[in-house]
Amino acid sequence: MKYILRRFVTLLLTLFLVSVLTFIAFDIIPGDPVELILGTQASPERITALRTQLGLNESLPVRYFDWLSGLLKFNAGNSIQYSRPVNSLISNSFPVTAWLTFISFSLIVLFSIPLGIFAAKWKNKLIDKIISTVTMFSVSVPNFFLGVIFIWLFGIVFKLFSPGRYVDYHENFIGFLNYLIFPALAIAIPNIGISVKFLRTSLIGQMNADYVRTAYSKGNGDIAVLCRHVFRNALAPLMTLFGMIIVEILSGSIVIEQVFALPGIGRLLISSITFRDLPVIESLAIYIAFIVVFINFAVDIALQLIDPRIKIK
Amino acid sequence: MSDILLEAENLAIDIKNQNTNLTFVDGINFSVKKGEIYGIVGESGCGKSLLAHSIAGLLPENVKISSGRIMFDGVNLLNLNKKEFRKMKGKDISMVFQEPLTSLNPLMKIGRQVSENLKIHTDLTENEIQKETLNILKKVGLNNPEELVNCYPHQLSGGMRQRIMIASAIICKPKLVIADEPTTALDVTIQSQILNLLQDINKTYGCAIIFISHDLGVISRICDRVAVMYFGNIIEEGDTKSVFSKPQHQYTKGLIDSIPTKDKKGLSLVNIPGKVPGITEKKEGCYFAKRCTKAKERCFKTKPEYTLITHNHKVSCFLAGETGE
Repeated sequence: MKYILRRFVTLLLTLFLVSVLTFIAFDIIPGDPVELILGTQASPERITALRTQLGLNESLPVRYFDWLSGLLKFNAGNSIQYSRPVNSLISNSFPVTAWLTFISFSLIVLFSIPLGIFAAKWKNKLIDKIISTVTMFSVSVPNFFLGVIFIWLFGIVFKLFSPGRYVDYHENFIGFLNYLIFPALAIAIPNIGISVKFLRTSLIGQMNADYVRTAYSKGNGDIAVLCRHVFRNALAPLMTLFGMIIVEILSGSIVIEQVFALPGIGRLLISSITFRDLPVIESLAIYIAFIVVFINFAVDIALQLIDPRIKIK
Repeated sequence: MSDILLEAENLAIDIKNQNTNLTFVDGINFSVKKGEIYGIVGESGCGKSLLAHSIAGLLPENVKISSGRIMFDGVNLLNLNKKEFRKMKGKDISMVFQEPLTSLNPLMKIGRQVSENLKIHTDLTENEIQKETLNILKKVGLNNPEELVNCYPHQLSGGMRQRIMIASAIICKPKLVIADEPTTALDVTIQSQILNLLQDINKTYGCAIIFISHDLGVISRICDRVAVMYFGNIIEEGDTKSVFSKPQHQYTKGLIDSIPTKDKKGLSLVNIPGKVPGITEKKEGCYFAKRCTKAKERCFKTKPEYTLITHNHKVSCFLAGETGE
């Protein structure tokens, strides 16, 4: 209980610092949302009027606390770019990214665990060498390139989906999932490569432990030793990696969402940064910081479930 | 002949190191009778663990048995394929290791670790396995087995862990238990309890035990017969009583003299000069000659054959039986 409380305080502190830093950063960098809205030809009067309307004439601390007090009432303000509440923008983008994360992460788990075990079981044999080569390749290929290849292969050659014609999840959920599989695959493939390498190394490292010899002395075969004894012992580093992967996808796969025209968090982030849309950026920064802290917390819990020797302090 | 359970004949074990092939253990001949406790004693690095692992089929990949045979209950273990051998491991031959903390899986509950042998080798139901597990835990002197089965190894003491190891080794009632320094990592009082337990198991189940140790005191206490190993060879073998009361090999004598006892109080400790030669050193003559204070010329040139002292005591030393030195 005490632990959870302390975690919560850390979370609040992190969110606060992130929001302050984002505010300051966007005050320093050049670019003015008003000029972006009205264009460079606008008359000075209109610019001043809009600045006052958006509250941009106030000093930095005043603007920050205005925004903060709004946030505490669950009102993150309006987007400058879209003139819509930030809340609804994010709550529209989040499901897309969340589903993308879910599908790609499932693919990663589904493929990396058996491949890692096979590679460790047949260490330095042909199977291991094939897996190593393929994973090496998959890690080296940038995912946007994979995305482009998939659009061409699955979209244009095999016509399994219509590239660029995103299906909204409100209208057609199955169509939505069908569309999402391909970007998810593009995200998953490099991550599968990394995960396989991680798991293989971790498993092989454990194979020299004393308890492995005991397991063999009981009459276990190679696969039984790997799955029943070594796997759980080798899982900790993989869990940490999985946490990092989830954070990465959930905070918006900027490139892949762009390539596949997915209206997710990553795309919202890009368009709001380009537009100096501070209310949206602020909220997204808070969202990402929250994801990072929350996933780390989940990983800690998972690690403790795997290894009872780890005590949460 | 039928009372012999295990017989090693001319066993040689090679260690592969990159391109070189070193024969480390060679010319090993010994036999273990059904139901006896057979001790193997020697300094660290003399090859006793290697020998034990070769019987249990647990040699690492770079170590190979290059010649000889190991007859176990009428079967040559070296002729078995991997799968056939696996069916015997944990059922007919099981092992107890030195360090019980690292030899138990840290992330598996005690109950599952102890019952694993049964799961692999029998078709008992979950219930029967559960029952047998609790039973065996009681047998090895653990009082609250119902709680223990849900514990992890790190929650137990060293002595309890070693009892768990033993429980898991004997749950299938094997014919042979190989105990590789089972008491070395324990403190003295616990050591004594574990030795009693092993003797007790030896009597109640009638399983033979190969007991490996560097501790002569422990060996003399529980073993029926003993083999003394030096540099990959058995240099003296026989009845524990006979070997300890009338040691023939200079090395065995040295070892026994090095035990600090009450009547040696105040005297400086005896030790054997020099150290075990490196594995790559050329093998010629008696391997112990360099450290032997009484070595003669022929000791350096020819390897001594075994001499029978009595019908159950043999030694490989030219000086054996010579008197008046």
